[in-house]
Formats: sequence, C-alpha cells, structure tokens
Amino acid sequence: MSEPGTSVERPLLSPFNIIAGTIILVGLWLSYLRFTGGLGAVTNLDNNNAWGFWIGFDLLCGVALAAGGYTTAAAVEVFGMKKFHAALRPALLTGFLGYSMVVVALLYDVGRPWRLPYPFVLSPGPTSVLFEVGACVMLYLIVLFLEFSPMALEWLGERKLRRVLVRMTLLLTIFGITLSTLHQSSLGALFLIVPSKLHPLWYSSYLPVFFFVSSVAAGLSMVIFEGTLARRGFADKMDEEHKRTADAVVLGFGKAAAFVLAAYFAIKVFGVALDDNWRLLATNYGLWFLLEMLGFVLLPCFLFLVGVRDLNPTLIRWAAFLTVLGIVLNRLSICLIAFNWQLPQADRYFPHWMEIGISVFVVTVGVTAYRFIVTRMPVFYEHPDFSEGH
Amino acid sequence: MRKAEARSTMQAGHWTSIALLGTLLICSFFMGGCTPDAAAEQTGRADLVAFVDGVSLDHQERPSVQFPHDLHTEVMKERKEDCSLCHPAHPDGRLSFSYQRLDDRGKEGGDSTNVRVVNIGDDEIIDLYHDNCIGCHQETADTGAAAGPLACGDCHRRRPPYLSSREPFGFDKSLHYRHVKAAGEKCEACHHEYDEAKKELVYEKGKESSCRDCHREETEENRSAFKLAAHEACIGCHREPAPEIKTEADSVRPQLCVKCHDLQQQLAIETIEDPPRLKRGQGDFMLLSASKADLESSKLRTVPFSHVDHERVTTSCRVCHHDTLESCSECHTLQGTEKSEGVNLFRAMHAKMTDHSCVGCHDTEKTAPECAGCHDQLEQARLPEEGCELCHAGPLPELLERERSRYRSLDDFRAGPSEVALSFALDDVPETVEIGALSNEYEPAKMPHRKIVEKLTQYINENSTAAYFHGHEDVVCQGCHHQSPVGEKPPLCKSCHGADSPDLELMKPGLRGAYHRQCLGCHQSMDLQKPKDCSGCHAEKEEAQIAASGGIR
Amino acid sequence: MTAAGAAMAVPKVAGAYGEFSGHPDAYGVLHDITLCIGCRLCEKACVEVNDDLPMPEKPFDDESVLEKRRRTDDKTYTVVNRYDVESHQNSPVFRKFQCNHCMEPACMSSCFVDAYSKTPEGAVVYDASVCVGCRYCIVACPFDVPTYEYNDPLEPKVMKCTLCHPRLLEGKLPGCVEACPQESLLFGRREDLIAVARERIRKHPDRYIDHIYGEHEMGGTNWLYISGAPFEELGFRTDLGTAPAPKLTSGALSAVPIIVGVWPALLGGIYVMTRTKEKTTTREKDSAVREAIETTQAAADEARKKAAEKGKADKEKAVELAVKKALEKTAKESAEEGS
Repeated sequence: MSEPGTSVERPLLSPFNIIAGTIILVGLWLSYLRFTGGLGAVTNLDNNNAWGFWIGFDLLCGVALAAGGYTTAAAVEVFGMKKFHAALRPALLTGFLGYSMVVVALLYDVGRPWRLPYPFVLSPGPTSVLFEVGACVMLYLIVLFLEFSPMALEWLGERKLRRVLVRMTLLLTIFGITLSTLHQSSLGALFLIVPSKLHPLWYSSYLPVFFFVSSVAAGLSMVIFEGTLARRGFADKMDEEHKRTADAVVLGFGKAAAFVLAAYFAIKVFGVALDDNWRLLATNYGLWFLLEMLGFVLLPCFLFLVGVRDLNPTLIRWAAFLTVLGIVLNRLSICLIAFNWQLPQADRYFPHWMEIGISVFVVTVGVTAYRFIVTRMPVFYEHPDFSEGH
Repeated sequence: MRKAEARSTMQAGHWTSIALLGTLLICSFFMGGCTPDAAAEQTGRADLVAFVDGVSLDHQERPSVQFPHDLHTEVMKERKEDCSLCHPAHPDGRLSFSYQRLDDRGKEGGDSTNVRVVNIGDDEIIDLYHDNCIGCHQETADTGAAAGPLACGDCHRRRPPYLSSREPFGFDKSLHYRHVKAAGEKCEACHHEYDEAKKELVYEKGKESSCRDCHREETEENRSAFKLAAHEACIGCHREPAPEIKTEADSVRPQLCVKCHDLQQQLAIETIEDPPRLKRGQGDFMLLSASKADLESSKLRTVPFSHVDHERVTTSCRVCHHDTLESCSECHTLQGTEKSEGVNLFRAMHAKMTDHSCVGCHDTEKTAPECAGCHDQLEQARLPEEGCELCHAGPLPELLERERSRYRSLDDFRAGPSEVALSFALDDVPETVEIGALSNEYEPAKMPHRKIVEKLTQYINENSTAAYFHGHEDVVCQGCHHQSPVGEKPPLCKSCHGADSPDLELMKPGLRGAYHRQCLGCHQSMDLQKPKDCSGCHAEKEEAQIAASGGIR
Repeated sequence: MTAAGAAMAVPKVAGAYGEFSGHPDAYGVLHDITLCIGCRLCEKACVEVNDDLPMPEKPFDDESVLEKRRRTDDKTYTVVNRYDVESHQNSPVFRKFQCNHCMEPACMSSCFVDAYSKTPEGAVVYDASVCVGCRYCIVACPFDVPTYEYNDPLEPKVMKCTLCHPRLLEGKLPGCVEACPQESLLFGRREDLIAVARERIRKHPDRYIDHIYGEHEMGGTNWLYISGAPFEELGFRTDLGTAPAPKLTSGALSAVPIIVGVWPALLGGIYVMTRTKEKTTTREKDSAVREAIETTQAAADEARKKAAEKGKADKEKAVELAVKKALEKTAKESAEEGS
C-alpha cells in the first residue's frame, strides 16, 4: 500500500560508522584481553563484589529496556489495539537485538562461557532463580527470533516459511508475554536471597513484582524513546502509515506508561510502609532512594499525564527518556549501589573503565546490527509484496 | 507545523525544568535529616537533675531540661547566698529538696523522689519553674552579667549538651570512721530508729544499721526514699553541722554534687588504711548456724566464722550484710522467707556469682593471678564435692548451746600446720619431666616440674586462707593431675587423654589439646610472660630429624 | 575414624512436612574461640593438605600478618584474624574463618548448574566440572566465604573450604582440626558438638557468651562457634536471622508454574474478548451502514417515482394545453375567414 520515500545516501565513512567502528575496534582489543587474561584483567570484580557493571547494566538494564517487545506485542496482538501496529516491528527488533546483546554480554561475564548450555542440557539446578532466568531468557530469545524472522524472510523473499511464522504470531506473543513476566520478575527475585547485603529500602519480598511492573514501564518508554531516535536517523525509511501513527503511538503509550508508573510508585511506597522503613529515608541512602522515586518515577508519571492531556508528544518523549534513566538507575542501584552497602568504603566496587568499554562495545554492536537491519528490511515500512500479511 | 512543534518543545522544556527543580527541593529538604551532626560532643557531668521524671516522652511537648546543679551552687556561693535561695526550709529547719516549694508528698503525682510528676496542663508547677528560673536569669542578665538561658529551646534542648556521669555513692569503712571521729563517736548524730508509738525518731544504742535497712527505693507513708533521706541527712549536716560535731575546714564538708558523685572525686576522697573496727557490739568469732527455729531440722555442722578477720578484708558491712546488720539466718531461713525474696540459707551462703555469699566472695579471691592458673580451669558452676567439712567444722547444731563457749577463735579449730601438705617429700618431685609422647615436629618438652610445685606451694602458703583450704594432702597436685588419684606417682596424662582424639561423650580433650590447654591456659591465667612462642617449651626439630623420625603425621 | 568416639544416642524426632533439619549423622566442627591462640597452624595444615593451595608469601609465624583483617581468597581457604576487644583488654582474641558448611547452603540453592552438594558427612562441596562461573554463589553467601579465580582465563574455579571431604571419606580428620595444638577445633557429629558446647557454657558461665553461633543462624551451620567476646566484635554477622537461604527464594520460584498455567489462559481470554468485541462492533457498524443505505435508497426511489409521475402529469397537461391552443387558433382563423 505504501512505499518508503527516496532513501538517503549512507556513505561508508559516515560519522556513525567512524565512531561505531572505533568503538568496535577497541572492543575487540578489550575482548582479547578478557579472554586471554581472565576476568581480573579487565574488571574490578573481587570476592566481595562478584557481580559488577556487566550484570548491573548489560544484564539487568538490558533485559528491562528490551521489554518493549512484549509490551507492544501485548498491546497490538492480545489487546487488539491496531493503531499501534506501526510500532510493533521496531519494538520486536529492539527486543530481539536487546536480548541478543544480553547473551553476548553474558559471554564476557561468566567465567566459562562455553558452558552456558550446561544448566539446560547437562546439570540443571532448578532451586536457583538464575536457572529460571536463564531458561526463560533462552526460550524468549527463540520466541523473539521467530517473531523477528518474518522481517528477514520478507527481505529474502521467502513466502511459504514466512506465512507459517505469521500464523504463529498469537501463539508466540502469548508465550512471549508469559516468558517475559517470568524472567523480568525473576531478575528481581535474584536478590531475594541476600537480605543481609541489600539495603532495606530496596530489599523487599516484593522485588519480583517491582521488577516486573517497572519492566512494563521501561518497555513502553523505550518504544517511545527509540521511536524518537529512529525518526532522526531513519525517517527516510518510514512509510506514510508509520509517520502518521507515530504521534498516536507516543500518546497511547504515554498514557499507559503513566498508569504503570503510578502503580509502581504506589507499590514501592507500600513496600517502605510494610517494612516500616520510613526512618531510613533520612539517611544518605534514603536520599538516593527518594531521588529515584521522586525524580525518575513520580516526575515522569506526572509529565506523561500532562503530555497526554495537552496532546504534547514532545513532553511525553522527555518523560520517556526520564523513565529510561530511572530504570537504569534502579537496576544499578540494586546491583551495585545498595548492594553490599554495609561494607567499608575501601571494599566497595566501582567499575573498571574496561568494563564500561566492553559494555559500550556490546551496545554499539547491537546498534550497528539495528542499523543494518532497519536500512534493509521492512521494519519501518511494509514490504510491497507482503502488504496483505498485517 | 514547525512553529507549533517549537512551542510544544519549549513547553515541554519548561515543565521538565520546573518539575526537576521541585524534585531537587524536596530532596534537599530531606537532606537536613542526613547531614552528620556537627553538634558538640556531650560532656559528662555528675550533677544533672531532671525535672520531668516519669513523664513519658510521648506526652512531653518539649524535651526534658538538664539542670546542672553545681553550676548554680557556685553562683549562689559567689553571691554569698544560701541554699534557701531556691530551697525553702521546713518548719523544723530541714531543707526542702524541691524547688521553691516544700515537698510534693501528698500532692497528686508526688513520688518518692519528692519531685512531682509534671502533667501537661499542670500550670501551677510549670509556672513555678518558669517564673523563678527565667526570672532569676533575667535579673542577672539585666545587670549585664553572664546569665543562664532565657529562650525555651535553650533549656529544653533537643540535643542535650551533657551526659550524666553520676556515680552512686556509699560509705566504706574508712569514710564511716572519719565521720565517727568527727562526731566524737556519737552515733546518734546520724543513726536513728522510728518509734511507732511516739511517732518520732529516737536513737537506740546497739540497733544502728545501714540507712537502706529502712529507707527503700521509693518513699513510703512517712519514710523517705533512700535518695531523699541521704541528701537530707548528709547535705543537711554538711551545711550546718550540729554543735557537737568536730569538723575541720569547710572544704572537708562537700556540698557540691560532684564531690560525692563524680568518679574522679570519689577516688580522691581521703582514705584511711585499716581504720579501727566499727563498734556495733559484734563478736570477733562466732559459730554460724541456721536460725533457732530451724536448728532442729538442720543436722549440718556449724561453721566457725572469724568475724574480725572478715571485717578486715571487706570495704563495708554491707558487702555481706547487704541492708540489715541482723544475723543472716534471721531472714535466710532454711526455706527462705518473703523478706529474703525466697533466697534460702543454702543459697545465701553458697551462691556462686555474688559477693554476698561466702562461696561467691571466696570465688572472687580465686581470680587473682596466683590462684587463677588452677582455678580458672575448674568448673565454675559446681560446688566441689569434697571440702564441705573445711567450713562446716564446728559442733553439731544439737550440741551448739553446750559447746559454744568452748570455742573462742579459729585457732580452736585449726589443727595441724596451715600450709600445703604433701604425702611425700618435695625433693621427690622430679626436677624436670620430659613430655615426649607426641613429639613429632618438635623435640620433647622439658617441664620444670619441681619449680612449678614450689611456686604454687609458695603462693598458697603466703595466704593463710588459701593454706587452710589447701591443707588436704596433695591438693596442690590436683590443679594439673585432676580427676585422678594423687600421690608421689600420679597417672600420666596419656592414661586418660587419648593420643588421637578428644572424647565427645565424656567431654575430654585428646592428649595434644590436654597438654596445650592445661599449660597454656595456666600461663595465660597467671599472666606469665614466658614462654613467648612454641619453641619456648619445645625446640623445633630440623627437617632431617623430622624425616628420620617418620615424617609429619 | 578416630574422631567421633562413641556416638551419643539421641532419639530422632520426626520433622514436619517440607522441612529439612539437616542430615542426621552429619559431622561438624566446634570452634572454641576462647582457646584459640592465633598460632595459625590450622592455616598451615590447610595449605599442606590441599594440593592446589600455594604456600603464602609470609611465613605462618610472621605476626605482622595478623595486623590486617584478612578474608578468604582464591589461594586461601581459611584465615585466622586478630581482634582487640574492649571487654577483653588483657589479650587479643583470635578467630578462625572459613566456610561454615551450612545445613541449607545459600551457595547450593543459588547454583543453577547444581555444582554444590551437601554431603551426608556434612561438608558442602563444589564440583568444578560443571561450574559455568556465574558467581551467583559468591553473591548469595551471607558469610562472604566463596572466592573466585578471577585471573584464570581458561579454568577459573570457585575456591572455598571443603571440610577436607576426601579425607573424611578416608576416616581422617580435617587438616585444620588435626593441627590445632589447643584442640580449639573439635570434630564430631553436629548434635554431639552442640551438647559439648552447651556443657562448656554451663560449666564456665563467666568464660563464655551464652550463645552457640551457627546453631540457628541461616537455618543452622555445621561449623559452630562459642566465644567469650561478643560475636559482633569478632567479625560475625549477628543480623542474619534464622531463615535458611532457600526459603528466601522458594516463594518466588513457586509462583513460576502458576504463571505458566494461568497467563496463557488469561491472555488468550483477553484476546478472545477483544476480538469478540471488535467483531461485534464491526458487525453493528456494518448493519448500521447497510440500514442507512437502504433508507436513503428507498427515499430516493420514492422521490424519483413522484418526479416521474409529476413529469407525466405535466406533460399531459402541456399536450392538452397545446391542443386546446391549437384548436382555439383554428377556430379563430375560420371565424376570420367567414366574415
């Protein structure tokens, strides 16, 4: 029905390619160091702090921010909100690449990455929450791959296989939402086993619920946020329907995000109240907690509502950005800042620059793959030969 | 299109920045709660008086006031004023210990310390304090001198500047004697009894007792609490001694709180070594037994007790007699009474963890370094099965009346030499004992056996009490040669302590543990400096020697 | 086995369903801290007994090592630390630190490759042949015991005390227990050790704090401690509670099957409901449109019919008029001719 406009020339030595290329080269060098020298060669991890930036950012934040896949799929396929249809493929692509990068980061973080399949094929440890996380992430990655593959198959012109996969959409979506609920909440459940190490303002027996609810908000916000970035970089690839419904997506998702953030704020307050931790708010950690709650949960919730009321997509985009920051803040707080809070300052952890370097490298690889796919496959537009499929 | 977009971006920017600012403001509001207290350190004072005892913190509108009494006493002295500046006098001349009023007894909420519980809305009392305190401060301020606080929060401080360092105070023998001397041995200057019939205080010779015998923690009907009585009596007399009291300088009669209640000041009080005995008609020597009523049922021999010797080693009568100077068995009957709070005679004499009982106090003596080497190892919680007759050496209760007059002192009971007894000659004790049963990485240990026995014997003989209790033959050996027959050739350690393993059932260490715990434990308890390390007892073997003897196990 | 001596026969009380109160005959070690003199012969024995542990840089009798508070690391299964405690001013207090071999270990519960097992002998042992190196066990351990070989790129392992499990199977004592000259470490069945500990505390109430650390902490450990100085002054965490680690996550894990069962039905149901709603809406819309079309059509037909009839009537009238006019004209003409 619609076709993309005239494609923009993308030269080989574009600013993006140069920067991304540099990062990737540095990343490859850091990878060499990591796999020849062990974890100690590139990280500040030690026996008191065994999980660091890679787990805190790449795993925890990565999984939360890739939640746009299941939230959009839920909205479009299960709740039948067809007007968000244009956002579905980009969200699924982000989800797929996001989870793939999580797995890549894990290859760096675990001591023997070639043994990652062991829990599932050789020696399961089902008493572990991590087992649950691993199994669900693995299955969900397969689901995302299957949901992404129609885009690739359209690009390759494979009709039959594509039709089979498209028929499975609803099934995959429901499976995906179930798996996402499980592993998003399980990432929070990972920390249930350490009440003596996690600051009481963040520790709660409701951690799984907190993680799940905030992942919904994260997903909705990331779709808005990435839509904003995509418009800047790939507007030429977007078809009429996409451009037309962009603002509707922003407004719709903004409204939903407001509700979810409000609920999240409420249950966090309940968490503090039920454990009677009010006094802790008057400490330095309490200040940090308040900053996270007021500045990055309550504030974006409020901004979302105002934006929706005033039909102001720009405000909603800012709110989405704040929410994304808030999720990153929350996950890093739980994993790095409020964790081991009782240790003396000398024993606390701060990431080595090489750890951050590898994380940037992994993210860049993901962004590069995204760029590659988006400029070639029907993500922002409908392929003319397959328009009946939607 | 562009204009509208620009306007909405600006709007968005405005909203965001306003909201961020608001968030930061709220956060900084909470920051006040978490900045570290730059408040000054609290200084300790021994003279703090609190005005609102008993009011629960929930009901107070303002925090309690910490009143530094000595500070005000000093000011009063400078102004050549008298205590009556704040404390009115009773009709009989006694000072009231309440502020600007006679006592609160009888008033609603008046309690033992004579300070009335101040209730919210108790305007009468509150005004009394406010008008007088602030009034006086104001007057001083008006003269231009440095004055006390005037604003509410300067007295009712949220973060009080002082910490109470008040130590409880009591008499010991030395201080009591100094007062006896000053009063010319007139006990009636302080001691009194209450005559129920005449409803007045009288003096009865021979009935003098500790103040706490009557004056309890709380004020009762017409009997002041101990705290009140003590201050009335002591400070009252220090202020205005009765004419018959021979005192020296004023400085000897302290009236400041710190002079009695500050730890340093307490340590600085002049002490008289070995003051003359307190004269209360007590005997030098007595035979301790159950009370007359219980004598029939008690078949245990009486205990010869040298009261004069015990007076010498205690700081005051109260160490044993806690409150009353009556005989122990008056309250501590065989079954115990309400007055003794159920503590029966056996417990009163044999309880382990208190200085009031014979056994408990003697146990404390055993913690001295000369004794602790052996005694630290012995089980604390149990009375030794043998040795009752060491104390219960007197006549049987049924013969008590008849025999009492025969015994005048402990010497009538001490038979034989009061020193360590051995069933063999000291020279027969081996000079060194080579302990090589476990020798492996180290050479055998050469223990200076005779020197140890000589030293322990010396310590025991130097102390007549210790010598008496160690008079049994070969008792001194049992510090190390425990739970086995003693004599010239006691069993070796390895007879009972297996070389390989501790015995969990019988709760006995193995040989290695037995050696080290016995030796090192004793050295530690006796605070011995040598030996400093392993080779002090047993020299290290060379590698080759270890290999030759079969290697490390 | 020379260690146990006669087992103390204690009648077993049946536990409640779903509860695990440890393997019945598991062994443990009782560390009597009042007896420890800080000689570090236990550390030395540990290094000698374990082939993969190297000798440390400073010799074991170098007292300067004790000046710093140490923890276990990838070359050290156990350390002895010195504490200067206010209430024990005469002499410093020494204490040995190593894996506590919990009854329900957090490391074992958190391992997703089942690399840990609680042996019937009581030791918690680690299997390096399946370990992936995720280090969740290090995160989970409430006592901060396990360590990792961060500097090994190919075969990094988790390193922690094994209670000398291979030696236990041969009937020997753990290396540290055998080496302690004071027998501050007592090896035996856990139940017997608790009885011994209680008896020591009873006999010498002035010497010990009335608490056996490890009796209940984190559900109980097989390494027990009694001490004369307060435990929190000796580097022990006294705020761990008595809930065993697996209990902390079992609630969350038990929700998994419920979500797997309920979510698909829930989501499927929502899908069906929204589809049905959509279909109903579409159908209603279609029928409304159709109705509107029909009505309009009918009205249009009606109007046309009327217009047609009117046209016919008009035409007839016009013809009549024309005929009438023509007749009138003819009549007029004939009248003019006649005169």
